[in-house]
Amino acid sequence: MSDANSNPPSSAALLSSKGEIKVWLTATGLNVGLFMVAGLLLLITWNGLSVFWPQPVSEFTLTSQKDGSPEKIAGIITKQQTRRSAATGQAIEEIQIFTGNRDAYGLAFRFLDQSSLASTTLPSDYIVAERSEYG
Amino acid sequence: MQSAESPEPLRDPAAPPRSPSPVPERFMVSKGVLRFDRFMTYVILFGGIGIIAAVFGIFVFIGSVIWPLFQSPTLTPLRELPLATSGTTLVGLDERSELPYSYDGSADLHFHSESSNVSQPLGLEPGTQITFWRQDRLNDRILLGTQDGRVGFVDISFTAKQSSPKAPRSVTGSLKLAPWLALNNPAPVESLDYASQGERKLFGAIVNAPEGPKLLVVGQRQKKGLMGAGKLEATPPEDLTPLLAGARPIRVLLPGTADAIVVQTQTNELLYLFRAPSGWEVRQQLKPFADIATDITVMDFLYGDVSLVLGDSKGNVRILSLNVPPGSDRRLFAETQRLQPLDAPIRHFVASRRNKSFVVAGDTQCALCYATTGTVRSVLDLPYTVRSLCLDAKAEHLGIVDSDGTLHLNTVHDPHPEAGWRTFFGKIWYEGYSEPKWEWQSTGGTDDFEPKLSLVPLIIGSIKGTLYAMLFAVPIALLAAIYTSQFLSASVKRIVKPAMEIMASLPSVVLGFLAALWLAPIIETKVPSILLLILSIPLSAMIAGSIWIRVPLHQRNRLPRGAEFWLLAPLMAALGYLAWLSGPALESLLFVAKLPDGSQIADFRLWWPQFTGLPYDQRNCLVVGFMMGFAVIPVIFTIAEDALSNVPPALTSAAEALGASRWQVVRTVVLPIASAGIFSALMIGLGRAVGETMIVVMATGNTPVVDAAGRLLFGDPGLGGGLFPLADHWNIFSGMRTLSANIAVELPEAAQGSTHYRTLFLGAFALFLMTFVLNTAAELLRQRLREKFKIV
Repeated sequence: MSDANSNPPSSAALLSSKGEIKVWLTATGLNVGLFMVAGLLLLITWNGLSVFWPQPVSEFTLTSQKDGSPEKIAGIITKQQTRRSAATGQAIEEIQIFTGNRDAYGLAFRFLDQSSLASTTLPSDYIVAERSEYG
Repeated sequence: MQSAESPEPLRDPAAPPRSPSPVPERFMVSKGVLRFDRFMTYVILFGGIGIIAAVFGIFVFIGSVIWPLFQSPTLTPLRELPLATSGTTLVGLDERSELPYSYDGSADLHFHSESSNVSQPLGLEPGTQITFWRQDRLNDRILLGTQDGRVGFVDISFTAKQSSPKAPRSVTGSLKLAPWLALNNPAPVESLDYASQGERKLFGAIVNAPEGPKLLVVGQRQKKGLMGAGKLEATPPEDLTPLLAGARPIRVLLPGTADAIVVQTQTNELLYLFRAPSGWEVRQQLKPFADIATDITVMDFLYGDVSLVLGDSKGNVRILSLNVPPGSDRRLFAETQRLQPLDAPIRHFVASRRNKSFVVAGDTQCALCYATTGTVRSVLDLPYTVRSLCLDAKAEHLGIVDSDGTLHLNTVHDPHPEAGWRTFFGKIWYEGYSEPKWEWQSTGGTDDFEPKLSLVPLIIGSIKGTLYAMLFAVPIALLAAIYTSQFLSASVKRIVKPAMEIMASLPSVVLGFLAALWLAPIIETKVPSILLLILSIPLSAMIAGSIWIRVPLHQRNRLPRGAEFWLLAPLMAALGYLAWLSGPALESLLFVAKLPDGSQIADFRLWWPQFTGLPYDQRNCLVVGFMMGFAVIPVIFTIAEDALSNVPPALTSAAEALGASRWQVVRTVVLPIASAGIFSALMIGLGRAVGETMIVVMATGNTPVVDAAGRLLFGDPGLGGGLFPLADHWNIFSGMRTLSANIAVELPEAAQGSTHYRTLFLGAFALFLMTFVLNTAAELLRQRLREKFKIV
């Protein structure tokens, strides 16, 4: 509807600038809306399709000792978050890893504090296999 | 519509232009068209009437479901039976009121069938004289106290026989006398009660000993083993008279927990004795009718043994309930309800074994009452004087014995005693609560649970959810609509508009799922980032706009129409990302909470409750508002965009020709003319937000809370306290339960025809009424807007 922009520059340059900032403000509405749509579709696609791709298995060497040598554990990182220590209230960075093997460890997921990790490597010789029921 | 039957062209070039034709056949409409026209008229008429009928059909259905909630109970006389007993009579009914029984303290109990009276001996050894007898509250059991200080009970059981489904039933009663327990005080028993709590059983009695009345308890323990209930072992009687401090006890009551006694004294005082681990103690002493100085005439427990019903000599009925008052750590009695007084002194009482209904009677008046709401539901004025009352186990039959010894059986029909305006919209002091409250808690773990059916928390939840959804969605949708319709080039608009509308195609269960599992945990720890992000969006537009107006006009004009949109995107993204990252910095600057040990910690989740005194939930209105945005934004956007696009170009061109800038055109011409359409868009969006269910069910935690918001809406005198009285009322960081979510969650569990079921429909009706009122008001306003800015 507004044809002011396609007209040749006039002396009324200042006049046509009136409310330009508000025009830009209205543009934010469209931007936010489109960002919401795109973000949601991407989010669903990403989380949905990631099922089809195997995740890298990391090997964590812990600072704690087990049987005289540093404890090692392998798993897929599923979450990284901050938690508050119940005792001191300090923020603690922690990761959640999927270890599987519930029959061996009792739990399929495990939380590790970042501070308890001595080193993290991505060895190439781990495989993740899914066992069927009673398999 | 072009008709096939008219072969001539519409305009005949050969005919003179203005010659009046006597038979203007070419102007006549073909029969086919007319037939189709008529047919369509009926189809449309049928469709229109059908829609109206369907809507009214819904009303009629909802109305028919909720109507019984507001009906008064009916008491209809069933039959009359002369009793064989005289004097102080106790009556009881079997399951179907086929074989009433009566007892008057003699050695026999009488069963009265329609045709015959059968007396059956209790099995007392000769010489036993019964001095006190009363009906057990829960069972067909008569508690007995003797002249020589023994207590016991007789159980009554019924067996029904029916040889074939069509043959008449024959019901016979049988008695079983329990072993007597001695109180070790050979004096007549004046009052007695018995409580059995699994292993622990307890008798409480008052005996009129020569040295003065005594309050005694005697207990029994029953060991439960693998082989079922074991033998009963009696514990020695205890004398609790010293606890009374000289007061003369006249009545005892034992709650089913068998760990307490309520004693009424001659001075109209109640003593609440409790068995603490160290022994019996007086927990509470109170005078229920101290303000009017009347005598307590009736005292008994209601179903559940948490509330006491007290009647006095002036016809007043008051209900005391156990609760933990603020600042205390033990349950004490407090007056929760006062009923409308009867004309006569209260003499008789019987409680339902199903709910909190009870019947009180005095002289010739009899009243059916409900304790939770404190209402007298029905009053019967009888042509005879009441001597005794009884209710059957299902509270379907009320038996009234008159002074001539005739039992009048009445059918009680009161399917929804707990319903009423007070229940749904008023504050009620429920059992176990320390103050009157609006509460929705429709089901409980036990049978004696009191349903709490206040719609207020749900109405507030609906308003709150809608409010936050609209707060988020309206600015985005309207700004986007203005920009898309007025400043965006047509080719981009063709892509952008359907893209925004994709939002509406997402099923709300997906949105709810994402809100609950993905968004809520993110938002929980990132509130400062979100606050900054919200600020960064208009800020980026202002920065971009300020730079833009400094660019010379001829350079600006080189950019195509709608360039702002993609020029702004990277700036918004960059600023937004920066805002997101600087959230923790803002948190450590502003939102520092103090820990109990004195240290300070920057955490919004801890800071919010400390600063405002309001709770912080993970599933809060912020999450719901954002996710509801996905449902509401496309609706408002599409309709508003259409309204804005339909403003005649002649008007905008005229404004531009007069020298208005493009924003001035929008503000002064486009917005007023499109205002009616924009208003419709907002109303339809609002309707969507009010009725939205799935997102709310999944993302709000579904707790029916009334926080300060409710107090503001429903007028609480204690309003306006706290540090931030206004912020206090619409806590964005708490959950809620909306009317629609409530129906979705509870309707599958509600028994059809129950009060709960009907109340859910009442919630639906309330929801409908809310939207109806709102939409009607909006429509009136829209009409006015349309009149005001009429173009043609």
